[in-house]
Amino acid sequence: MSTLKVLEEDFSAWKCVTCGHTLNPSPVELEYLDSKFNVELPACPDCGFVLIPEELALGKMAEVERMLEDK
Amino acid sequence: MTGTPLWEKSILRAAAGETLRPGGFILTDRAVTLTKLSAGAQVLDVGCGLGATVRHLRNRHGFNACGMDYSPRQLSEAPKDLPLTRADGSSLPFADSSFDAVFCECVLSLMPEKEQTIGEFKRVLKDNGKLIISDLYQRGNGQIQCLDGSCAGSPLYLGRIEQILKEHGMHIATIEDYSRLLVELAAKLVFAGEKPPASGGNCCDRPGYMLMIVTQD
Repeated sequence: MSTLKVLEEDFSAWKCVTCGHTLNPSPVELEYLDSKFNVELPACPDCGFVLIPEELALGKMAEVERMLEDK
Repeated sequence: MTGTPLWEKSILRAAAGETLRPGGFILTDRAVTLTKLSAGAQVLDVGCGLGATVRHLRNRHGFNACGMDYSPRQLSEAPKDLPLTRADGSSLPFADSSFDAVFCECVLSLMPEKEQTIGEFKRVLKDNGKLIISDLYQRGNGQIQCLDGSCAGSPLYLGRIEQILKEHGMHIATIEDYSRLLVELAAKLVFAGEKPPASGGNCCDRPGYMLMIVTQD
């Protein structure tokens, strides 16, 4: 299954606070209630830290959680 | 129907892949297991869209599979080396008793003439041929059809389908619920940017998804 592009905003200026590396758009697997979703999120190429912007957490992710809980 | 139907939007392809339906090939493969079809079987995929299932049935299972779809746009984007035909599901351009199996995945709910369509499935199936239907269905006992032009707006009423099958000398041999796959596809569409399904007060708020194997009496 292809990786879903879930963010429109550009986060290329963001850096990992631990490693100092610029975050790159990377494939990330999100899992919730036994369902898995392959999405693209900014991540540190060194330590793997993944940035989940607040807008995504409170928007699409919250909506998906609601849908999965309300099956 | 207003605007571009969901199955012709690129966002569905991004969320569901080339099959354009919940679960991708999971239910196709499950149906092959349940029907015990042998390699070389003559198989028709009704509503083949981009031809992904026809290719899968040929390459993965060794069937002599062909497909038909009503949408010239979808067929134009399908691989040219596949035996795909443009036709109406309620008037199939095939001789009687041509197929060992007819697959109709996430398509019947979109077809307005269900009696005639199922009659055509029966006509082109061999005596022991199997009909495989996977689709959205109405959970509960509602019989109201909510035809707003999208598959989510017109889930099958299983009681009516069972009645039509009976009228054509067929019956449901197996039915399995896969509503989770429908929810997961809806969730992928939300991730991809589609608006979440509205929760109103009609019968189609929370349709389920099922796989049924139909055999002949």
